[in-house]
Amino acid sequence: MQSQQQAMVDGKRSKFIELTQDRLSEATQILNNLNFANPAIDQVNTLIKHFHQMAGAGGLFRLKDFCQHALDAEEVSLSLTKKKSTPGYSEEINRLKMLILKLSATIDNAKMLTNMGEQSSDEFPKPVAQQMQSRVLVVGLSRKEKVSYATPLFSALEKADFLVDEMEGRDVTPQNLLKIKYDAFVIVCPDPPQPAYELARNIRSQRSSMATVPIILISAGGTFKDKVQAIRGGGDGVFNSTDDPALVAKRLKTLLEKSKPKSHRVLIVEDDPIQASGLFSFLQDAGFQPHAITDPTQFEDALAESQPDILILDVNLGVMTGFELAKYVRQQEKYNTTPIIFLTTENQLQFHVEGAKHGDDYLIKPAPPQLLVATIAGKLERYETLKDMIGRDGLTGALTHAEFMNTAKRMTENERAGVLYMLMLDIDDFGAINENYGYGMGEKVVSELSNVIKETVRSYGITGRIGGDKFAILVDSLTEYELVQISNLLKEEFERRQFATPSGPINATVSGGISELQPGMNLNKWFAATREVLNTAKNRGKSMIVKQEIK
Amino acid sequence: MSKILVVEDDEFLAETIADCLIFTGHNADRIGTGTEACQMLKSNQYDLVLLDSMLPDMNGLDILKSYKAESGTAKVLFLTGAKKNEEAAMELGADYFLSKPFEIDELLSVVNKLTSEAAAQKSS
Repeated sequence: MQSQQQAMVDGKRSKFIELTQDRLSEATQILNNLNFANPAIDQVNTLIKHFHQMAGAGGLFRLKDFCQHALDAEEVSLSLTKKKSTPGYSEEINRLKMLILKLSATIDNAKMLTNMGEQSSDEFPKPVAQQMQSRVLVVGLSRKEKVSYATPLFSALEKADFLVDEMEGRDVTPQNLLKIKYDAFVIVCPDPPQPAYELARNIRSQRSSMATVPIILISAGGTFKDKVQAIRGGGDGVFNSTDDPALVAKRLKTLLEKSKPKSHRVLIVEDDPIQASGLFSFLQDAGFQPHAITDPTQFEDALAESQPDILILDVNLGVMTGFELAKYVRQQEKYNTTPIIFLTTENQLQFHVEGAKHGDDYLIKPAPPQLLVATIAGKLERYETLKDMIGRDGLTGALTHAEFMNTAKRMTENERAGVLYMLMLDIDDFGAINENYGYGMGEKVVSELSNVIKETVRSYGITGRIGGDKFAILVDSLTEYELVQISNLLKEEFERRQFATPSGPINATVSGGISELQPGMNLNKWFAATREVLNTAKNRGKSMIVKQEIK
Repeated sequence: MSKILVVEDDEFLAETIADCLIFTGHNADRIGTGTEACQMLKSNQYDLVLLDSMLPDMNGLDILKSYKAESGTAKVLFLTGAKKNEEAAMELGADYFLSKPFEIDELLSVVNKLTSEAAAQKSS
C-alpha cells in the first residue's frame, strides 16, 4: 500500500523524468567539451550540481539504482576539482560517461514504465548470476563437537562462502527439509555408516527437486567398500575424515557449479566505444558474460575467443555492416543457428528487411534495457531448448552420438581436466531380444539400461547413446578402481531388472569396456580403443566389465 | 502547525518536498541559496530546517555551523549523499540526517518526529 504522499510525489514523475533527461543531455554536452587535461572549474561545478540534484530526487521517485549512480557520478565529478599526482582526468571522465549511460538507461526505462502506467521501482530485472550464497546443511556433526575435524570442516565451508547449518541425523525429516531450501548436503557418517546411506537416499526421494541435490559423505572409517556403497546410496562425493576439508568445499563448489544454469556468453559489436562499454556493463549486471569489440575487423578473432551463445550487432559499423558480419557467422556450421540481434538506429524498411533475413530480432536504439534483456533471454531460452532437443536422444535422454562426441572433444581438450576414463556399454544379444519379443521390448530394455546408468553413474559422468543398444560414459572425477566398482554395480543392478514377456519374465545382460585417455591420443583413437576393450568383454563370454590392459 | 524551511537549490525537488509538507499540515517556505537561507533564518522563527548538503553559493555544513553559532533554535534535518557529511553534520549539531536515496514517507516520518519534539520543547 503506498501512502497518499507517495502518490502525490508519483504524480510528478513524468515531470521528473523530463527534467532529468534535460539534465543528462546537458551533462553529456559538458563532458564532451571538457578538457581532459585540465577541466574548467565552472563546468565541473555544473556537473556536480546536476548529479547532486538527480541523486536528491531519485529516492523520492523510488529509483534507488538511479540515485546510487547519480551519487557515484557526483563523487567522481567532485574528484575532478581535486589536484592529483598524475596529470589528466581521462579515467574519471570515462567513468562519468559510463555513469551517464547507466543513468540514461534507467531513466529511459522508468519513462517506458510510466508510459505503460506502471510505477515500478525495480529498474532492472535482477541479475540471475549473482544469486545468494549457497546453503549447505551438515548432518550428523555439530561445530562444537569434540572431533578433530569438526572445526576445520565448518571453517573450510564458510571460507568457501557457503552458509552452513547443522542438524542431527534424526532431525532430517521431510518437515524440516521443507522449511529451508538447502542447496547441498554434507553427511558425516557414523560408524557403521549404513544409516548415512539411507539418509542420502531419503533426502533424494523427498521431492523431485531434491533428486539431483549434491550430497557429500564423510566417513570416519572410510573403507573402499563404504565409498562404493555411499555412491550407490546417492552420494556425489565421498571423503574420509582425514582428507583436507578444503577438498570437500571444492568438490561442493564444482557440483553446484554443474547444477547451476550457466551464464550465457554475449558477443557485442558496436563501434561507438561509449555505447559498447555501456552495453557491456549493463549485460554484465544482468548476469550475462559479455564480450564487446568496437573494431569489426577483429570480429573473426573475437568470435573464436568468446564462443558466444548470442550476438548483438550494430548495423552501421563504418568499414562494414552488421548484416555482413551476420552472413559470415551463418557460414560457420557451429554458429548457423546462433541467435543474432541487431541493435541500431536505422529504422527504414529496407534495413528491417535485411535484419529479418540475417538475424533473429531487430531493435531500434535506444532500446529500453528491459526489452533488451527480455529479448536476449527469450531467444536464448528457445535456442537452448532446441539445441537440447536435438542433442538428446528421445528414448533415453542421453546425449546423441554427435553431441556426445562434441562434449567429449571439449573435455579432452580441456587441459584442466583430470584423468579421463571412458566406459562403453553394450547390451548382450540385443538382436535376439528384438527378434524374439519385438522392437518394443528392445526399447524397454535400452531405456532400462539408461535408467540404471543414471542411478549409478549419477553426476560422475556424461552419458551418450552412441548406437541402438550402445552407451558411452565419460568420467572425470573417479579413480579407475572406483569406476570399475561402479561399473560392476551398474552391471549387476541392470541384470537384476526383469522384463515381462508373454513367455514369462526375462533378464538381459550387459558387457562393458573401460579405457583411459592416453597422452597424445585423439578422440577417435580413444573411442576405437574403448570399443576394442568392449569387444574383449564380448569375446570372453559377455556379461562382464573389462578394463583396458596397459601394455 | 510547524513552520519549516526547505533549503534546496533544485527547485523541482524543493517544490515536491514543500508540497508534501503543506499537504501533511505544515507551513513550508523554500529557498535556493545559502545566503538567502541565512537571512531567512535570521528574520524568521522556524521549527525545523531541511538543509541540503550542497548549495550553489555555500556548503550546507557551513550554513549549519553559522546557524548554530548564532544560537539558532530550529531543529535541523540534514540531507546528504556522502557518509563523511553525515558525521560532520551531527558534530555540528544537526538533529538528524537522511542519506540519499530516501523516500517521501521516510522523510515525512522524520519531519513529524522532529516537529513534535520541537513542539514539546516549546511548551515545556
